[in-house]
Amino acid sequence: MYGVMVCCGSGCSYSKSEKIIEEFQSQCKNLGIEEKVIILKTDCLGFCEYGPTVVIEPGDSFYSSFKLENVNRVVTEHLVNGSPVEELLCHDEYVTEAITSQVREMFVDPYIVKKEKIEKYKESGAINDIKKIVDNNCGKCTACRIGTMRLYEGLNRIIDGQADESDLEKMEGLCNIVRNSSLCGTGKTTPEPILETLAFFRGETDVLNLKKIAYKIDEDKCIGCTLCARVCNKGAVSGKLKEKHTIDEDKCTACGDCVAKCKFKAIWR
Amino acid sequence: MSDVNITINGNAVVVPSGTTILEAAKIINIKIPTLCHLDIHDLGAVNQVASCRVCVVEVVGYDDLLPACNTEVLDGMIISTTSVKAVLARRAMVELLLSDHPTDCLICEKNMDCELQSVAAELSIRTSLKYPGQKSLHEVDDSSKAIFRNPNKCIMCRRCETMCSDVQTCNVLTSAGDGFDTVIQTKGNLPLVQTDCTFCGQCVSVCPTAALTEVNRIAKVWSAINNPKKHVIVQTAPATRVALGEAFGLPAGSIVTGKMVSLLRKIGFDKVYDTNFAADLAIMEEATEMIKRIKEDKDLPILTSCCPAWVNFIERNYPDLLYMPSTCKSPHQMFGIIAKTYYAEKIGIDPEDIVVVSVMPCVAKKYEATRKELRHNKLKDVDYVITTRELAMMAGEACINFNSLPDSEFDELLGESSGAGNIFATTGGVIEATMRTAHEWITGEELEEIEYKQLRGLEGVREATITIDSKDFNIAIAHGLGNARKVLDAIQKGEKEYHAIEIMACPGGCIGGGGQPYHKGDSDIIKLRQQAIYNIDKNKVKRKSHENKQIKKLYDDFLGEPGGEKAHELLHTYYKAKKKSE
Repeated sequence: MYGVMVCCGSGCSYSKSEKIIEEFQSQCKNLGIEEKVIILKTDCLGFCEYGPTVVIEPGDSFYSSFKLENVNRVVTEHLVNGSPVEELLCHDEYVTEAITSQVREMFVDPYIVKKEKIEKYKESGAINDIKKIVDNNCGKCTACRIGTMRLYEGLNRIIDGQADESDLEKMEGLCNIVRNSSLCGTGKTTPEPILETLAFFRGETDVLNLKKIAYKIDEDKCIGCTLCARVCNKGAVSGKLKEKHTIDEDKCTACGDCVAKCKFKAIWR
Repeated sequence: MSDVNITINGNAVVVPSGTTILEAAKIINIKIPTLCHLDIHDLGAVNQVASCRVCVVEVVGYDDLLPACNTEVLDGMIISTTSVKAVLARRAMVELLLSDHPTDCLICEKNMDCELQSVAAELSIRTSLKYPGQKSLHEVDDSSKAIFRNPNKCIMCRRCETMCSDVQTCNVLTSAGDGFDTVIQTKGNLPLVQTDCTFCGQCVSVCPTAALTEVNRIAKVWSAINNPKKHVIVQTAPATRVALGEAFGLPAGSIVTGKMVSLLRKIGFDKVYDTNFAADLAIMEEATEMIKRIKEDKDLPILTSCCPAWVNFIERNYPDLLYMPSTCKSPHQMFGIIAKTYYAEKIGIDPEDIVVVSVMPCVAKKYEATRKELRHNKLKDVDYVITTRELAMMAGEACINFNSLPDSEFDELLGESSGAGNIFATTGGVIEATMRTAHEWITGEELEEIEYKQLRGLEGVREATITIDSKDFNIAIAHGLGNARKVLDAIQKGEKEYHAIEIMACPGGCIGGGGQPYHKGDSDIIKLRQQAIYNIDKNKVKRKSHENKQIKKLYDDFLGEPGGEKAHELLHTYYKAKKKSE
């Protein structure tokens, strides 16, 4: 699994970096490795004088002054055979160091999805970067001033295991809105790493440390009418007639069917 | 300018290039919600920072949403206000603002008058908890007697900053801090009284929320009215009668003098008087002073002094020019002192038991009433000042149906007024009233053309030359403190020479004052108010201050000569240079 990030900031775009993306896509497809390679368009990485720039993860390989005709070599040697094309890499130590740490913080290697990555996410300090934006943006437009604060708070809730699936949806929606509505690049780019993270970790509820949503039955109110057990199509409710029922939290998906059926308001979340 | 073709929600429309999406949508009756946007073009106040993002729309070909208020249309633009992306974003912006806003709407000063509230209602936002989180916490500033600041309710629209810095050139309010903690505060975060604030109240008049409000004095007025020992009299400024109706749903420019008098009687004031009377009195004094100064060719030009915010401004910014403003007190202060001397004597009540309440279009008058030099025998000339808005609130409290009130007249003794007193409310009015009287006093002949059309209008700085008895009087008129600064700078540099200058701190004069019902950025309202003021003057039989019979009686019975010793003691004041903050 490889992540290929092609900078499409204004400088690199001017040098036709979008053509490079297209070339990568078509060559990967021709070789049948498109499922193993994620090709991403990124915003300005800040090293425009080395543009167009391409970063390949894992391995933090930073290709500078990338030319369209080099795509073939990189695909065959790096993406297929696994050895970076040494002569095309940037050898300015300061730049490579800066850019790789920057990329790592921005994207937190979300390309190889593993459980331990959430721990790495916590360690990476990426969330502190968002805090920096919350504290240091210019404060002019609502989307960035308040929006990034709410994103930061939401991210913290996820990491602390306070969030549930609906929070994720809300986060994703807010990310898109902040990105679309902000005045300048600060607000437009802040949600990117969060969106990336969500895109790759979504569905891995245990990885994301999400709160399990399940309904419970209030023993004092339940009279054992069996209505809930009959309506549940996950088989999560068990109990006999005229006896208190219980819900198996692992099976419950919180669809709410039983809540709607119960006449005694005995089911709650 | 060429025309461009655009499409908004499927409707083709042709607009001149340079039009914003918001203006173009307005042409075809599509209302895009706005919050930070403020465009009072005619008065030079334009706030188009696009900071609230409540007006974002989707344009084909653009990934990002564009703010309608400051995006100019381009040929062939296909704009959608109804796309899901735009609708959700606009909603989210208001939800985000609400998530960092106190939820005390029910008891908020701006309840029912708040633009954030109405936008939220327009977009049917029913929960502020969609994005729960930390709220910003700032200290409130209740240091001043005129303006109350609650930065917790600030939504960073920066309209106040535009008014304070660009229009009034006072540079008191500014944004400070970074990120989530950004807030509008005073320069150096000092309490308002320690800043260069003139209390003109223009920030209050444009604030969409209750972050900036007047200091509410309604409770004090009620308790004075309810105190049987006190004789409570009220005076109403010329500008209130053309704006008060707006607070009760009447169209802008409605003249509600009669209803207003009935309202004040119903509220329980013992006597209802007119500041126009005092305006006539001020003209008597000011015209006398002007003629004297011009005759002696000394201390020219004479500057008008009835605007308290303007007085604050010159005291701080031009301490070397303090010989210029007329020494006359402002009309409502003149009224206060006359009420507590002449009137008290006439009706035989101890001045200490008289409470004078002023209903003003102004926030700075609240400050002015507390000035130490505007006292006589340790009694304040005016006890309480309430704004036009506060009077409307009092009507609501007392369950008075304003629109069905009958018309009634001001009380005798201090209630008569001429048309000249009435035009004090608009820019150019004070100087016009002064010239009417000055003309007749200098020539001794009746003035044929009463209306000085050359002094009227809404341009920021106006100049005119008026010939009386073959002598030319060079006159300048400025409204808005930024324009006042231009005129004063020109005088300081010796570029211009005038005989008389009228200055009003608020754009439009008192009709656009900080205490008037909120115009919400509609300059037509101010124009209609101005028209109404001139109509009142037109319909008056007496249109010159010195023809006012009650004024003549006041001089005969009590004051003696205009500009005489007693008049000087009671009706004139002095100015002190104040240190400008760094």
